[in-house]
Amino acid sequence: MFTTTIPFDFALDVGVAANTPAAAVAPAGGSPAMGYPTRPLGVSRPNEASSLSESLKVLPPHAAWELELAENLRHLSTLQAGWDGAGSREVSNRALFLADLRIREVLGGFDNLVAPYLVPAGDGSVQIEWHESDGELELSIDPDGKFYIWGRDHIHATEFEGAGEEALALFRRWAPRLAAGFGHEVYVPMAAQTISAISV
Amino acid sequence: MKFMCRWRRRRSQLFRSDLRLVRTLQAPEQLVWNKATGAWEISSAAFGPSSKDRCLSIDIEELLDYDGLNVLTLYPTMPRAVGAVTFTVAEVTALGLQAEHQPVPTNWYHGGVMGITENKKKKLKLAAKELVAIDQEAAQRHDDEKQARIQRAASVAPASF
Repeated sequence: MFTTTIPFDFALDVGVAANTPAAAVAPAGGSPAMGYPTRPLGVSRPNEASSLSESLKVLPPHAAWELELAENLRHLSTLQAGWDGAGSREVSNRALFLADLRIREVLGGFDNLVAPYLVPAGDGSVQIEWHESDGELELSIDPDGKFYIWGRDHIHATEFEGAGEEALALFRRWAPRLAAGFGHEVYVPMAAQTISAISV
Repeated sequence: MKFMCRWRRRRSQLFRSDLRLVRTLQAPEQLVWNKATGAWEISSAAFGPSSKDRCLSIDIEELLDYDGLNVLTLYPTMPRAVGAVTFTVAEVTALGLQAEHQPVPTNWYHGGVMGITENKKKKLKLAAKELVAIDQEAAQRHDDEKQARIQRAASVAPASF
């Protein structure tokens, strides 16, 4: 259960390295002067300021895709209720945090990648999307933290979908491939993956 | 609209399955660049629940038609609109979904499609037919603005490290 409110903007701003829990480096009061406003989420973790400084020293400069991801997240976090017509909700902080976490989990440390689109939905969920020449991928994250994935491999003319853990496993396999361009097999994890082709 | 919403009787059922439901894209954030087609297109996120009551917001042609209004009458009232698509009541029903009249104070012709799941929103996207073409210029403008913000952030970021 997700119980801690985390200023995800901050995690973006400092470029949290892959496999680093964002909460471990979250400071009090939001981000340093990086040009992004932070949402007042009421987090106070003063004791972690020193570990933050240490983290900053070893972080590499922002890759272009990280800057784009950060801007996408920042922009979505500014959408007010009603942005998609009557009754639409602001994008869930939790969904944005999970989107950031999952993307960095699989792409962190790499450069020259295509940043995904982050598409909001009126119910507060968010979709991570790539629509490249050779394939498409959409990972939907709802405000409750549930995942659903859909993808299409244009080369082999197959589609796949999955939910929950299966969705995350498929995302880990396909996201690097889409982000790097389909020809870059080096980024494809070696683990076997079950893909249910639902149409050819 | 407020007066209509308050005093006019809400339709409990839609009868004409051949008439259309209009989904207006109210935000450029729901457009994505598709490299395969070389154009901005609508994300499937735009066909998911668009409100906290888990319904997809639509305008109902049957009600507009009854009042002698064009199906695009309400489009100009949406300042950030970047396109509109339609699907028929029959297509929605065939997917196991249900359309219902849900008037709101700003739009008496407003309705909701209920029962949308992740899988069904993909099918709904496939069933959708373009009513107002995606405003490619507006989408590009939105993306250009984003790129400008990224450039500004990039120029600030290194100084902070």
